[in-house]
Amino acid sequence: MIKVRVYVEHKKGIVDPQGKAIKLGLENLGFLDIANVLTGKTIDVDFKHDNTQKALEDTKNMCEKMLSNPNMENYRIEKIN
Amino acid sequence: MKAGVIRFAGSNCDFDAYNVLKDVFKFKTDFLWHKENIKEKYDIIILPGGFSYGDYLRPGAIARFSKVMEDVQKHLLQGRLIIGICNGFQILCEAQMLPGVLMRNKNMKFICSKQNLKVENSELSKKIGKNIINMPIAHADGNYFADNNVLEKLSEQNRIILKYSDQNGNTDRIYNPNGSSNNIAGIMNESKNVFGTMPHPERACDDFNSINDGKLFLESIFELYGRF
Repeated sequence: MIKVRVYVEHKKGIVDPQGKAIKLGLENLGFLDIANVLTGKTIDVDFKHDNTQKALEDTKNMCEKMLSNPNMENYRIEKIN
Repeated sequence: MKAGVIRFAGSNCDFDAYNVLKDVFKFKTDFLWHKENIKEKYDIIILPGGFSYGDYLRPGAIARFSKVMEDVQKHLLQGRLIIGICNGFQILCEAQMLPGVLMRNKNMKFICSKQNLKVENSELSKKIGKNIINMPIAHADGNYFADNNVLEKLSEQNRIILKYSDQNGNTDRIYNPNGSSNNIAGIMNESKNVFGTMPHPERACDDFNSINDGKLFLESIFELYGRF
């Protein structure tokens, strides 16, 4: 069975308030060398079949239609098994 | 006049919108269930506030693929009024019936307060009879974002309807509660029949709440852009 992982990331220049808050927290913990923290999402999709090409194509379609919003996000797809 | 209020799984301002349409505006009003097609024609369809699908993935991202949205698209093409309030605005953006996206508030907080708003669209402010109105806001994802081309187009075409402001209509950045581009709180589509607003006009429609600017706002949209 194919497993595909989708990474959804903020586009360059889009403010990531969650990342900024995490950076502040880490600095409070004493990690003072941090230039930037960016958050994102991972979404794992398990398929019922073994057809890699179809799984990757379908996942791309899922990203374009629903899993990411092109106004603010980029996505990357990776086969994980 | 016939109005419909869509109920998504997780809508929670559906009764507010329903009561206002029925009792304040005296429209024949129905609830519309997200899993079903819309069987009749409605002059106005409201997508109410709430947390459809728990705001999972992104607010509105899953609700936009509800069965009912196919018929919202048909109503749109027929020039009927579609108004999205708060989560409804987010759904309309996700469905690309309005441009841009509503991101997490810049300060990461859920904001619940009365908000001064500048009525930016001149047609609308003339109809309302004033440039500054006050309506409640209650959201965690109201940070409107669109690229510069879209923002310029919205401005050029007089399609920004509301901007966050102070009580004098100043739209400086300090009066922006959520980080939205150009203080945008509400917009309309090119054909002037789809409206999205983060503030809640349906919560400002009676004397009991001591603000009824929401009633003026909705009434003006109905009269200016409705086809009744």
